Amino acid sequence: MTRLTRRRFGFGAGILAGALVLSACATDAGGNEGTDAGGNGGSETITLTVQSWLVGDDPTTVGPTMKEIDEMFMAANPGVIIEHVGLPFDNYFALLRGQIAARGGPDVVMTFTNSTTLEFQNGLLGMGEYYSPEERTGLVGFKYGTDTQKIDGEPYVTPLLSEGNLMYFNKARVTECGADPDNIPREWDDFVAVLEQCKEAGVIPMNLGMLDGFAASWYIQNGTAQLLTEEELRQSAEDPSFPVDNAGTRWAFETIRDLQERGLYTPGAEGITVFSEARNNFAAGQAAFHFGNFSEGGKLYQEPLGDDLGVALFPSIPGNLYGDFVVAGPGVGWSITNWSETPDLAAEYIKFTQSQEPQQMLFDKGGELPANSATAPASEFPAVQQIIDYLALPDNHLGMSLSAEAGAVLWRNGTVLLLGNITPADLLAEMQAAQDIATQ
Amino acid sequence: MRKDGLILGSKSRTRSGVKDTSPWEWLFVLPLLVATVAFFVIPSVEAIIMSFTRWDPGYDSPFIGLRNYENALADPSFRAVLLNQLFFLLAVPLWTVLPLFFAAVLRKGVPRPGIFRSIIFFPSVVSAAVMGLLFVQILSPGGPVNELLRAVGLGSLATSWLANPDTVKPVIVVVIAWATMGTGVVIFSAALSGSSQELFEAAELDGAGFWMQFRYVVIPVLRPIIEVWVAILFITVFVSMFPWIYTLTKGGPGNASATLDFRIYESALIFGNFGIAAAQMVIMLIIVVALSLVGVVVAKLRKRWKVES
Repeated sequence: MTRLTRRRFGFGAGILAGALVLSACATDAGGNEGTDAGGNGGSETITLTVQSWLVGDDPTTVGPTMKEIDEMFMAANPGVIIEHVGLPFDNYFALLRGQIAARGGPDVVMTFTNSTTLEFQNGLLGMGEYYSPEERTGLVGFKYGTDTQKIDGEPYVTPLLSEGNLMYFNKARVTECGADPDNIPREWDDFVAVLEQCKEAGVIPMNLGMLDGFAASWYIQNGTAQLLTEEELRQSAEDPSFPVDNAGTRWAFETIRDLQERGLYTPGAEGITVFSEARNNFAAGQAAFHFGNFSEGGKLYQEPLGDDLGVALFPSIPGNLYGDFVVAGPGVGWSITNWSETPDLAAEYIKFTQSQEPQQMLFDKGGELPANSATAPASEFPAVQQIIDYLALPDNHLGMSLSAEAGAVLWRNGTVLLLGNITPADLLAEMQAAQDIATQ
Repeated sequence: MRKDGLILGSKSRTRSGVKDTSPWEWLFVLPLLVATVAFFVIPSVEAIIMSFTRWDPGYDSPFIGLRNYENALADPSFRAVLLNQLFFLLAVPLWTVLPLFFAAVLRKGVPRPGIFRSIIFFPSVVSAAVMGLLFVQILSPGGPVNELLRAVGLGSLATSWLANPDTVKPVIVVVIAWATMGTGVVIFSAALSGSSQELFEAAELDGAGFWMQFRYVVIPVLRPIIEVWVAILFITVFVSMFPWIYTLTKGGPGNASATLDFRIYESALIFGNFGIAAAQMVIMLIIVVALSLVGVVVAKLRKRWKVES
C-alpha cells in the first residue's frame, strides 16, 4: 500500500491545480475566439446580436415580423448575421442589469423611449452621431420624447414604434346600455354617467385587469397628460427625480378607487392581468368600454368584434389644460451597448428597422404603429383608421414619465389600490420613497 | 494501519482531543472546501463589504457608510416583509405535523399503501416553479377552486385567492404544505419503519388508540428527525421561498406575500439597488443567526432540564 507522503500530496495537488488552470485558459480562449470572429470585419462573417422582448413575448405577430426584418437586413448586408435573442418582458430588465454589470451581451438592446432607460446608461452608447437633424425629426416623438433622454447631450435610445392609449368600446354593448355609440361623451362626468347606465343595464361598464398593475400606469399617463403643464411634462421626461405626487397621479388613483367603489369595473379585476385575460374578455364582447394601448385594436379585436369595435379619445377630465389629443409618443426603442465591437453596424441595423418598409411591415403584419412619420399607414378597418387619424392630432403628447422604481411599486400595488387596501396618498408616498432611494 | 489496508498519515491530537485531519482527508475535502469558499464565503464577505457602498456592479461603488441599512430599515415595505416572514415561520408546525400525521396513518396500515405513498410523494418530484404556475391557474378567479365553490352553492366564498391580501398568505402556506408533505412523509415513514415496533405493540397492548400512540410514541420516537425537519423548514422559510413567491404572487398584492429572499432579488435586479440588497442580505443573515442561537440555547436548556429532572 502506498503511503501518501507530503511530496506526493503536493504533486497531486499541483496536477489538480494545473488542470484547473488549463481548463480555465481553454474556456477563456474559446470565449475570445467567438468574440474575435464576431468582431472582425473584412470577408469574415460578422454577427450582430440583438435582444428584444418583442421576439420573446410575441410568437404570432410582431415577433415573426421582426425576424423577417432581420432577414431583410441580412440580405441587404451579405456577411452579416443577425442573432435575435427573444426574452420575456417579465425578466427583461433584470437580465439587462446583469449584462451591464458583466459588461457583456448583445450589441443592440430593446429599451423604452423614456427616462427609465437612463438607469442603464452605464452600459449604453450615446447615439447622437448616428442621426442627422432631419432623421431625428422624421421619427414620431423623437423631437419631444427622445431628445429629452440625453445625458451630456447624448440620446441613449431611439424609437422603433409609437405608443399610446385610447378608449375602445363595443358598439353593441354601448347600445345595450342605452347610450349612443356614435356619440361617446367627451367630458369625464358624462362618460361616467354612461358607465352607470351600463351597470344598470347589466352590462360590465369598464373592462379591467389589475393583477399586473399596468392599467394603473395608463390612468397616470392620461391624468398627467391632461393636468400637468408642458413645462412640468418636459421636466418629468428629463428628470428621474420629478415628484410622483402631483395633480395627475392623484386624479388617476382616486379615479380608479372611485370607479371600483361604484362597481363600474370588471368584477374580480384584481385577479386578472390586463395583457392577456382582460384583453381577451373585451375581445369576447364582455364589456362596453376598454381602456387600452394603440396596438390592441388592429390584431386583437378586428376579427372577434369587427364593426362593433369603436375607438374614442380618453374623456376630458376636469382641469384639462389641452384640447383634443391622444396620449401618444415614442414607445419601445433600441439602444446600442457600449461594449459592442460593431457599433456602426448596430446603428445601421437600428436605422434600418426605422425605415419605411420595415415600419410598414410592423404595422401591416404586427399591428404596431410606426415610429417613422414618413410611413403613412392606412387601414380598411375603420377602428384602426380612426386610430391612425388620431395620431395626426397636433396636440398629441405623452403624460408623465414614471421612474423605473416608482413604476415597479405601482405595478406591485395596483391590486391593493383597486381593493382599497392602500390609500392613494400612501401609494404615492411609497412610490416616491422608492424613487428617492434610486435618485439619491 | 486500518483494517482495509489504507495507511493514513500520522495523526496527532489537538488539545481538545480531536484528531488532526490527515493530508489524504484534506484531499477529499478540498473540492468541497474550494467550492464553499469560492461560491459562498467570498461572495458573502464581498456582499457584506458592498453593503456599505452604493454598489454598482462592474463600476465605481463609493463608500456610503450605513446609508443602505438606514434605507432598508426605514422602508415601510421592508417591515411588511419581515412580518410576512414571521407569518411563514408560524406555519412551520403545520408543515411538520401534517407529514408526521400521514406517516403515522400509513404505518398504521391503509389499503394499498404504495398508492397512497405515490400520491403523497408526487408533489415532491415536481419543481416549485412548475407547481407555482400550476396553482396560479388552479386559484385564478375563473379557476377550478372557484368553479367548485360555485358548483356547490358556495359562490360567495369565491375570490381572487392570490390577489386578495387577506387570503394570499394562508393560501401560500397551504400550497407549500401540500408540496412539502411528500418528502416529509417519506422521511418520517422511513424513520418509523426503522424504529422499534415493540414500542407500538406495547402501546397497543396498553390500549392506546391512534392519537395516544401519535402523542406518546410517534412524536418521542421521531423527535431527532422532527428537529432536523424543522431546521430544514426554518431555513426554507428564509432562503428558499423565492420560487414559490416568484411564480405565485411576485410578492403581491402590494407587499402582502413578499419574503426576504424575494425582496433582495427585487432590490437588486428590479430596482437596481444592489447596495440595499446587500444590506438586506446582511440583515437576513443576522436574523437567521440570532434565531438559530435562540434555538441552540433552548435545546441546551431543555437538555439540562431533562437531566436535572
